[in-house]
Amino acid sequence: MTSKNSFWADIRENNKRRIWLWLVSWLFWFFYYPVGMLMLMSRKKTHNLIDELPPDEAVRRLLEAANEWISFRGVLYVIVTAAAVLIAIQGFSYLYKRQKVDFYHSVPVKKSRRFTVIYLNGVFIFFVPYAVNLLAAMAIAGINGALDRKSVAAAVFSLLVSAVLFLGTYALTIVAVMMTGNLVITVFAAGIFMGYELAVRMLLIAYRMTFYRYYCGESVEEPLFLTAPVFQVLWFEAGEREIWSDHLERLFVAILLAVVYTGIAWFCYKKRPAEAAGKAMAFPKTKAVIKILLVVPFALGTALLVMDLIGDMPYAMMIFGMVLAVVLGSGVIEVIYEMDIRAALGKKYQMLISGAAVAVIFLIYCFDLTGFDKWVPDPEKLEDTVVMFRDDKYRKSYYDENLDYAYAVDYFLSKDGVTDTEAICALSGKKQEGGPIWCTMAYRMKNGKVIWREFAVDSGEEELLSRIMGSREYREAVCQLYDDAIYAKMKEEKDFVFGFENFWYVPLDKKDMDEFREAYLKDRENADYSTFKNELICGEVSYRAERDEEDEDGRWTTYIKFNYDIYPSYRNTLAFLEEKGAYDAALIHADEVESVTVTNYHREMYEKLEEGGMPEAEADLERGRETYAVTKRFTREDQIEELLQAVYPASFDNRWNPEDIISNDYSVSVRFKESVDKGEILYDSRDGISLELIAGRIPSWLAQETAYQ
Amino acid sequence: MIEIKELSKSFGDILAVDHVSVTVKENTLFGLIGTNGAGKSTVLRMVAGVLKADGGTVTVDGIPVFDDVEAKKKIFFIADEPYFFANANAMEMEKYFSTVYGGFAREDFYAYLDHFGLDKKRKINTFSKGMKKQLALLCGICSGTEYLLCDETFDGLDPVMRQGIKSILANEMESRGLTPVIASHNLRELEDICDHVGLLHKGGVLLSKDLEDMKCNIQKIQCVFRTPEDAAKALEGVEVMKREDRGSLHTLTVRGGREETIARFAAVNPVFFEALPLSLEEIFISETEVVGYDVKKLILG
Repeated sequence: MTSKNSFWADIRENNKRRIWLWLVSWLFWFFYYPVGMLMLMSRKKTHNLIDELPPDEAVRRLLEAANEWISFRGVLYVIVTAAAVLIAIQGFSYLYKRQKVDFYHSVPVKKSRRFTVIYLNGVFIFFVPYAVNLLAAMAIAGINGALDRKSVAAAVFSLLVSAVLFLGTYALTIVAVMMTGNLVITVFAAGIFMGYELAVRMLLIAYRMTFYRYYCGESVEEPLFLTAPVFQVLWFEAGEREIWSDHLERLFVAILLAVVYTGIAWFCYKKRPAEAAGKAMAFPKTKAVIKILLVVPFALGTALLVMDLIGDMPYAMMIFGMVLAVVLGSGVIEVIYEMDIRAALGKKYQMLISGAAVAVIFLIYCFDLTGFDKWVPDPEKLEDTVVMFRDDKYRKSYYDENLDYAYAVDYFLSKDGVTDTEAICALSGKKQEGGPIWCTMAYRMKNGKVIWREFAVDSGEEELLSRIMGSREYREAVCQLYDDAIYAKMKEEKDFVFGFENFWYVPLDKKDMDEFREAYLKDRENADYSTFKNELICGEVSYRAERDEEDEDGRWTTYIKFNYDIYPSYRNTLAFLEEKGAYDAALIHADEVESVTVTNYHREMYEKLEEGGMPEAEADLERGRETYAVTKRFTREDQIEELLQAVYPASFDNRWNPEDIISNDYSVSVRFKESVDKGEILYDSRDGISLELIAGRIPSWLAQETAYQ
Repeated sequence: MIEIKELSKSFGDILAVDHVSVTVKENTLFGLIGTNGAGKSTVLRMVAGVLKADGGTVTVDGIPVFDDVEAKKKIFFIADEPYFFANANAMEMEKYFSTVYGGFAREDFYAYLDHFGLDKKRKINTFSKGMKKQLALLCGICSGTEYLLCDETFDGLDPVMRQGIKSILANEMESRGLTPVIASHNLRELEDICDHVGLLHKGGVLLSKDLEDMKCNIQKIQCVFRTPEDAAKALEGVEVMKREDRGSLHTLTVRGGREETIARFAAVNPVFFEALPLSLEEIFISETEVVGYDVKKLILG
């Protein structure tokens, strides 16, 4: 009798045990791809008829829809991951039952053959129905005239990402099966394998944020995950398929992960003892390591949770929480290992090791034993530094060369860093926990490492701050008007508006943009922190454009806006504005004003109230009078003139100026005469525009006039 | 030949097999006897190459069996609870075994199924426990392997079936030199078929001997002596393994050859004298009592 023990015979025999999975896979992909595509095409065609789209538009809509459907979409992350977990567990689940292990491991089949057969069949179960149905969907799209080169590329990309995600997760789950002895523990293990790195990373970030004063949150973004394939490929968005090159490193790591996990899975399969069937863990030696690796972050996380619940830094409670978490975590894991509640307090030495590890890590962070906060870069080792001041990040918008919105930090990182390392290091040495000026520093070291810190400095560091803010690199980063490509794109925008704003908005001629740019950049060359600190903004030139955009989800408008602050020392810009008649036109003239209404909030009353000893004020409050504000309307020309010398638009950015330069006691509203026609105005209405008062220019009589009675 | 040398295996803190050394010669039926937990299944699983020994070796015709396909081709292992594929019938099991055992005798298999009245198309999960064991045995017998390892396989078979299987085993042993190894906790089950018996207790081997050797060297004699002097004369120099006296009737289990023992007793001209056949059970009781074990408690309980 001839042997039928061929590889394909084994494949066929194994498949007989997995028919239901084949069926599920075929059915799912059939409904997902060809049936889904049919329904989509039918729906879009109906929409085309309803919208009475011209043929070109109708085809474009079909193409976009088909392309979207074929692409690797968010839902596929879940589906592919779930499929990989299911197929891996089903394939090797025989290892959970002693009967099956006795059966399979006693027959004359090499372990390598059995592993390969089960492994490959799993891959076939996923990919054959997937690929065939994807092709069918493409064929349906093609028949409907909704297939082009882009769709084919999307399909290839989808297949590639699915392959990377599936193979990585599949192999990782097989490792989980190999290391455990029953289904429930395997599912836990697979979840832990996939989520552990993320959880630990998040925990460490939370610890840094909690205990390090100068930790910068910007340092955590898109880490290169070294364990979980699902997170590794999470950045492979469908919309980004054109920029595969950006993801090559991730792609390579993801493929490497799949290969490494497959290797580990095979190694574990080879070494897995048959008697592990039905037990929690297959390899007794891994039990302690896994337990400690789980208990330590659990306990550290508990400490943070306690802190979060109680607030402040309740050390005693945190320590209690950690001890409890170590005992509880170790106990629960031991109970799971032994399937015996009495085992909860066993292996005390492992509890002690976990506790010691928790204590060491906690102390490292608590007392900053790594010197994180003390660290100041060595100028010799520093290449350059990307400097962002708080408002650079949060108050301004940045755009890329296509005038698409760019995340501020990404944008700054793409620019040259400040190379005045001496100033950077000196300023970094003067960091403090709080203060008026917040800096985010990305120190780019000569060894390629980027080290982040976020700290405050005192406004008295004028010399250092001026060296940094006056540097070419910072200037060009923070002011996009320097960028020729962006500037060219700005001018290409349809229907953009360009104008000067002070109290009023005065449109400027688009043709004058080059002239403005030249004047402004010339002035900007000489501006530094001293300028921003010691001068008050006297207007701003703004650029605005609107773009109507459309995709599958609908239509929307994108707003593009640039503001250029003008300081009194910007002689060239001011001369340009004056020449165009814009500067004066944007000011408020006393003869146009009917009245100025001033509200004095009498904040000193609240302070006095807090200090006590103001029975009449307390009585007022009890009577329901909640404010001490006194509002008075001034109509006399001399008073109006004096007040207009002190008013300042509330929208101007005075963050660099000393805190008290603008009074926060008063608010001002100006009412214009009926005869005044300013045309297009920026501010609300002639009934009143909101203004503030410059502290040093407040008329001496105003306090008296608005005194609290 | 299966050679087990100094085989040890622990499961956690439990020592399941402790330095077991046994040799299974070709074409003999080896009975592995022991109480529950004695280590029979563990030994068989190691012989089948399923479990890896912590210490010692198991070789099948000189090949270490663990992880070796060539060695496993010589063995068919029937576990105490044989596994069959979910929803499979006998035909599907035959197809699988045909792919892994090149010498699987398909025609014999179907003939045996007919012979034992097992429906080849009926789902195995509808079979009774006994039927499943029969089917597993038939699969093993037809696999064409040289060694058949049966773990408690005869438990649950009715006497007719057991007899049928035994006869098939005998035929296979005769026709192609099959070497069955049968583990059981029940001595009586094996006594009429075993050539060699190994007794396991608490993971160790109490004894391992050819049954014929044991039977030939132990005699059970019932006799009534005329005088105590006659009795003393007859028993002089005889190793009495067990003695029961009921009045003047003595039942003695003695070590020695049959002819020699009969001659010795005949020489004192007793009133009544008879050499009784010894059951395997009695031989075991006698042999193990000698080494200090009460085998009744161990096996016959």
